Amino acid sequence: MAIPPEPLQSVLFDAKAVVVGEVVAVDATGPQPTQREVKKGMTDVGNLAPWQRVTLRVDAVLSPGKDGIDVKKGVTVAVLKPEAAYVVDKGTVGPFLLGAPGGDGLPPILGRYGPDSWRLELVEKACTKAR
Amino acid sequence: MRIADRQLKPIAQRIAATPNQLVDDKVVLELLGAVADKLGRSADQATAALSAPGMTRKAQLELAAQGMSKREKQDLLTLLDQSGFTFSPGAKNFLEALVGRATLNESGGAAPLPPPPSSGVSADTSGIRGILEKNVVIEAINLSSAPALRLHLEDTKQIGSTDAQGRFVLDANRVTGTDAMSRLNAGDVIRLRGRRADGTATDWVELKVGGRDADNAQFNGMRLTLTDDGRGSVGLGHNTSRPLTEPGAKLRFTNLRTGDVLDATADAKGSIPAGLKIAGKGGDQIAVSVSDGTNNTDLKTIATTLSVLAQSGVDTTDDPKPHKDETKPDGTPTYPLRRYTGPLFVNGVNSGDVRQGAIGNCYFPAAVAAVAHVSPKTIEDAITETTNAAGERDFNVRFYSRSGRMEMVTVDADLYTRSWGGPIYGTTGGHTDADKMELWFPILEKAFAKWKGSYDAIGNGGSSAAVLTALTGKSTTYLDPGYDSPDAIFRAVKAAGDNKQPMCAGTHDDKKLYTNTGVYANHAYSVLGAEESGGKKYILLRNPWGESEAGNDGKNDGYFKLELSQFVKLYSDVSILRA
Repeated sequence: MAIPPEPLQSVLFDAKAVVVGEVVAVDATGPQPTQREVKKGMTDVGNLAPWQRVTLRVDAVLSPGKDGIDVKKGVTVAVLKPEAAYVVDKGTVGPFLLGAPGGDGLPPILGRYGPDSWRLELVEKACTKAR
Repeated sequence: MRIADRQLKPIAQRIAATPNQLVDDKVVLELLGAVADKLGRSADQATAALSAPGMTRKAQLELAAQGMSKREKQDLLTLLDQSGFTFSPGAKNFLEALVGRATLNESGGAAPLPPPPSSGVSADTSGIRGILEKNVVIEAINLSSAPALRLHLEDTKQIGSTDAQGRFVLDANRVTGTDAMSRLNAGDVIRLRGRRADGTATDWVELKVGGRDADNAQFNGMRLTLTDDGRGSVGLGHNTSRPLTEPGAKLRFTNLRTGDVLDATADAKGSIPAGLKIAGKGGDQIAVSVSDGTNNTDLKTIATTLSVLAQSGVDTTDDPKPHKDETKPDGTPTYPLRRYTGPLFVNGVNSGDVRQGAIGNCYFPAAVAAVAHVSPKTIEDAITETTNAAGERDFNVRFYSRSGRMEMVTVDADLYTRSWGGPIYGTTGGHTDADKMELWFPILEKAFAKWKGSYDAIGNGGSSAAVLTALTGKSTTYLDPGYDSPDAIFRAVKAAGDNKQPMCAGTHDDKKLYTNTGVYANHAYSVLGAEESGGKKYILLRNPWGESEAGNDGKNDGYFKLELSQFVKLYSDVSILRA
């Protein structure tokens, strides 16, 4: 769904850790959610891509982990890309805002478009300001 | 990861296909069964023997160890060290003891779920168990995590079913996994019921997950509306069927200007009592604290701070209904209308004024910005400010039907607005304050919503080409990058841009194409022209969000250019208004 990303500040409020990272593996992918037909010339119909369980390598920590999320430079963490209007793949990079783990124990990637929701400079600036 | 044993391999594959890839005692039992089948028994028989009443962990270990081959041992080591699976402490200890790396902790295993009680329903972090009616499907929702999610109280997950005696035992892994049951944390309030085969449902049962509660109640400030009643009080409204917080939570509202305090308790729906008021006026800041009775009991930690909306004016012009996402089940809007009093135009119309709001109508702002870019006068002429019989400010907006018939729509400047920010739907770049925001784009969007029936009617996808026609009365031509050659597209876009013909382009719905590109799937963009520089051809574009673009020119204003080769790969269609 091509709705603008949420305001960064509101998502940062819910983030338990903010890192710069790279997806090193997509370990599992969920079933395809129900899709609306996209007729030629139609945009913003709101189809979502499946959830993905991915391994994320932490290249830098912008906001240290809290509430049980342990993120250090160089480590890999298993995270959940929820059903959303984007997908990640091996090699996907960017700022990752990680939320509180759900029932599966995996911290979800926050932001309507995950690492493509906000520019890295904006996330860095917001994290610096929040410290 | 390579698993050689033919019994262990499918189990490992099945674990790998689950979202959390958890290996707990239940899974370990399957693995042991696969190992123990060497003793002349099938894996099922071995599993049954391992599960026999009275079997201790030590006895299970001995039984499995007797039948374990070198290959199976190597496979178990691979699972432990290379699979990346998550092991519960008990499962890990068991497998490590089996391969000789650890001493068995005989009491350390995660005990199997206890049997269902003789009556009632209970839960802890390992699962939910109990008795309901026989042979019903169990639906559940976690009311503690629901406030942070887009969930109605009826948005449940089917977590299992009862047996012929009405009993059920469901482990946490099975119960969780969707928004409605995103977790099973200690202290969480779970609401469940049974769904009979005939479609009817049992009464709701509410229970608290046992264990040490470390998570305070959540509070969703977006669902609370604070309105100045004009008589020295601020009304607190929970304008949604979605929960504000978890049932039973204690809430404290503090007016940060006056120091006045109001305490309340959330009801069974996670809502607040109707008619609550606190002393205050428009512009005041209200701090909200919340406690689940275990955490933040002194209510000193503030969950959020919200602004009080100023008193609205008298409304004499019909307003389009909001999108269904901002509509309560009874049809009333989630967010109130707020009157905006800023200027209609500031320095005329400019494509950079256009900002898409939180609604799925990118095709509309993309087309409007495209027209604004080449012909701002078309838009300035389409909106006329008037004063109605009640002396209020109205706007007459002109659209064209598909047949070319001109139609006028009258709207006022009341816009659906959050307590904590500006309008929900489209805005004009710059100020979003009620008395400063440039109004032309939200007025145009509101009129379009009214013309089409509601914000919902325009907020679930659409066609930019149709909007170009609605704004100008002219038809469009169409280019298909999958069919037309890149050079043909470049020439057509360049010529149309030079001729000041508005253009839009849409992207494919294949989301894989767009990761890390700065371009977004199934999204509409304004096409502003084409240019050649440094021997390369480019298409000039604008994202209707007014931000987020390919490349980095340091501005993040939505304007960008793409090399032609990238453009034809990422875009599925180009619409050009006929001259």
